[in-house]
Amino acid sequence: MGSKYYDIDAILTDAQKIPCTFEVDVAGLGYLDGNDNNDMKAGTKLELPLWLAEVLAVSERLGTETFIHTNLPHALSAPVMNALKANPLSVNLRELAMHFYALGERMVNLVEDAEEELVDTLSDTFRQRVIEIADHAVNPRGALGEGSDFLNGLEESERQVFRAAHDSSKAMKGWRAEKK
Amino acid sequence: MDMALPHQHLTPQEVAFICESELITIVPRQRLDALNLISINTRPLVPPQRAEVPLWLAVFLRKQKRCNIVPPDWLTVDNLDRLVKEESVSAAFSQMPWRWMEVAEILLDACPDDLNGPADIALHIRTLRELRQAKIRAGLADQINSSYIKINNLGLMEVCEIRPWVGKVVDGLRKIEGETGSAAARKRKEEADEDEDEDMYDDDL
Repeated sequence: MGSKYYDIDAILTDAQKIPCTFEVDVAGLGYLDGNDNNDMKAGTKLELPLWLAEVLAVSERLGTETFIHTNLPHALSAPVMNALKANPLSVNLRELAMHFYALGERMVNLVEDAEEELVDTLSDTFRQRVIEIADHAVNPRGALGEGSDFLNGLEESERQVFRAAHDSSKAMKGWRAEKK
Repeated sequence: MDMALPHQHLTPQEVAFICESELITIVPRQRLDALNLISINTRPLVPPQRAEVPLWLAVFLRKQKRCNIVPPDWLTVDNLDRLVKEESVSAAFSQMPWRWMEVAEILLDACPDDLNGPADIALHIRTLRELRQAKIRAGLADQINSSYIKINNLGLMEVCEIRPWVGKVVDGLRKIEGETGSAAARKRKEEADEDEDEDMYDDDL
């Protein structure tokens, strides 16, 4: 992780839950699933935080099998991706995941299939949404007016873009005002 | 925290401050001996001979009514009129001086009386800015991506205005696309590989 060690957004991304399926029995790990003093059975499905899922999914045990198999979280599931393809502006990303793109970026490395499609959908979504975000940041149309639903649905990195665009446009207005 | 740390990007005030070391022509009203400044040694000012001095000095002398500023050639109603027309017809950005916005604002503020038709000039500058902002928006919507963005003929102030957020977007896209790369980049690579394959095939023949 290196430079990301103190990055609060990276830490919060790590904490997001991923649906996982155990592929092998693990002794004494039953407490993760809520039953103490039991072993984790193969085939158990549960949600694990990304930092744990990542390690278990890639670490190999005695040859080829891994501890768990990861599935895409709801935020990156096919229905959501289809909705994003249809209209990137209509989806509330914040409700799906606070760090939506960061989650996608990490999950791409864990799923084998449809990797390119996932990346393309995410990058198209981001591209189209940021232009809209910049519009709202530069020309506010009232706090409760048009577009407030969209702005409430921004995930974290989109909010940072909004803030940057808003601040620079505000600085410009301030500079022009002091000249008058 | 914003206040305590230096800004990551130039603020409009900083851009305007840098602009003030540009040279501008003045007509002095009073004699003034040569000044040995850190950035420049001015020649003695002798009215009514024109002289070139840094913009900040010109503004300073103008405020004390010791000189008149000769506005640059492009800052006239006729020329701006032409630029506004050009800007609204053409899809490309019309050629403006690198520091057009700063120079115009500073001169409109410091010496409206030295300009010919300051109200019209202010209006045209405003119109130009709005037209160009709309074009910047359209241009970015069209081509923003993780590798590069090309927009010709933007002024320094315009670049500084979009840089903070466009930089974040480009970074974000680069993270999202990661090792997979953008669809466009993959396509280019595939085509390049195909060409290579064909070349090898030719060699075999």
